[in-house]
Formats: sequence, C-alpha cells, structure tokens
Amino acid sequence: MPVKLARNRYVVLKLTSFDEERAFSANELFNTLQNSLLKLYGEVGVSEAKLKVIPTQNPTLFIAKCSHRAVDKVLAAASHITSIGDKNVIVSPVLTTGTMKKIREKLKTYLSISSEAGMKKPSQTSEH
Amino acid sequence: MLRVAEKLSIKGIALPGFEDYKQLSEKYKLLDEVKGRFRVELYTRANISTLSVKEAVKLVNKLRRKIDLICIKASHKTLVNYALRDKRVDLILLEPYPDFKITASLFSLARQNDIAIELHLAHLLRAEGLSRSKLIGFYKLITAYSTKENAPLILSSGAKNWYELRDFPALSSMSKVLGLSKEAVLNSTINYPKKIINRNMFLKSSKLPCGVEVL
Repeated sequence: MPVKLARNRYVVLKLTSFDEERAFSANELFNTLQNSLLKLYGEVGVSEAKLKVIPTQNPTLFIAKCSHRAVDKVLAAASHITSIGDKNVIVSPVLTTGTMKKIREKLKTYLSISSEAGMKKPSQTSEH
Repeated sequence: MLRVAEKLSIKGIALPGFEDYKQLSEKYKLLDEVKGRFRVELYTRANISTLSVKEAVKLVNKLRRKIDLICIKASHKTLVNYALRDKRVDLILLEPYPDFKITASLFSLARQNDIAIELHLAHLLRAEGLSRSKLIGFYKLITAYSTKENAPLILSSGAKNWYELRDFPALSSMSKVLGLSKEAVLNSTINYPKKIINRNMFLKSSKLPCGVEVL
C-alpha cells in the first residue's frame, strides 16, 4: 500500500486576551505565527512547516494546518507569541489531530468539557 | 492576571512578595480577599535575594511554615551553596546569567537535599534574536545537567504580565525546545510543584517534620 509522504496535522489554537471585544482574523494569526516560526527556526523551518490557518465558528479558536514533521515547531512557535498586532495575547495549543473530521469531533467534546470545568474550583474537582 | 489564569484553566499560582515577615498578616488579609473571587488556588511564595548568607538564614527561619514556598534567588555563589544545603529551602531560582559557573555538583547536591532548580520561561518570551538564542543555550545547559544528575527541575512561567502566563500545553511545547523529554516535562511542570506544595501544606498544618509520624 502506498504511503503518503506529506501527512498533515491540524492543531487547534486558543487565543486568550483581556480585550474580549477584539476579534482576531485568521490572516493576522497566520502572519504572527509565521513570524514567530521564522524567528525561532529560521527560513528552512518555515518552509518545512507548510503552515495554514483556518478559522472556526468560535472567534477564539483557530486551526493551524501544518506538516506532521513540523508540529512540535509550530506548537513551540505558537507558545512564544505574546502579541498579535498591537494587542497582547496568549496563544495556547488545545489539541492536535490528523484529520479535519477528527478535529470536529474532538472540538465538540473539548468545548463541552471546558464549559463544565469552568463551573468548578480546582480544589472541588476530583482527579482520577 | 488571576482572571487570565482562570481563563487558561491554570490550577494554582504561587504569588511572590511574601519576603517581608513583618507585613505577613497584612498580605494574608489581602490574599484572603482575592482568594474567593477566582477559580485558581493561590499559594504564597518568598523570593529571597540577600547579599549575605546570614540574612538569608534569618529570613528562612522567620518564614518557614508560614508561607507555602521558600525560594532563593541564585544571585551569588555563597548564597547558592547555602541554599543547596538547607533542606528548608524549596526552590533555587536560576535567572540568566549568574556570575558563577554552573557545574554538575550544583545539581547533584540539589538532588541529594530534594531542592528543586527553577527556571522562568517568561525570559524566553521577552528576549528576541541573538539574546534569545543565547538564553536557549543557557537553559539547555541547565536541563541537560538536571537530566544527567536526575535533579528536580521546575519550569514555571515566571510571568510579570498577564500575557506571559502559560498553561500546561504551552509550557510543555516551549520546554521541548530546551530538549526535555515528555516525562521530564510532566515532572517539571506538574509533579514536582505538586509534591513541594503538598509537603509544605503538611508542614504548615503539623508541628512534626516531614517523614515523622506519631504512633
């Protein structure tokens, strides 16, 4: 069976900012992420990543599509971002999948879990 | 900052600024006011950075069992040498760049006395270009020594502004740049801090030292 040489990974990125009214576009995030990748891993790193940013229905969640070889680099570059344009922001990776279908399923569970967890204090939650 | 920590689902934050033992009660009052408002556990922390060892010992004597974390800033060699031998110290904060040489013996002593070496990842966010590459090199050296000597290492965000706070996935992807394995990242961001907090909570509540039990 032939093996696909260039496999993709889809990383869900969550943007957290103080200014909730300010919505960021996928293009803005793409430029910032690419710049961060360029600073951290250089031109070769950017070319290997084959980065694309896809918006979701949630304005704070974005999907970064990249090569499976460059997932760690993209995650590190995303974590190093402190601002988009003139606005300070925290970019944190939420989940990583191999297909868009899987990302839709996982996002549903993530959103339901995060809304439930938001109702409890950490000391009140039980760990298993 | 606490509001953002809550948004990021961070479980707990150690608040620095509890070095002055004369103002502890006032600071605790302020802490109690804030505590209930956010879904984040708050712990107290003292970052001790003194010129002489004598002053540091005095502060540790006054602060132990009153606050949750005692941290010594590695500003000079004599202070680090003292901190590595005093088991009441929880953390040694290594900030870039100390004026002494980092050696393997520092990490082996830390392992023997169960004292964690702490690194703040916010420095990586503040630096850019060549200074960041130099910083990554310095942090890589520390992580390599700690892995080799099996010394407890703690990676924290060390945030001074809200946008420097990082949750676990972000911290782990940042620490992969420093050459840490998955297990080491888990230990340095969750397991060691949890262990130290639990130990100090026990010490705060009881008069017995850790490991001693009344039968």
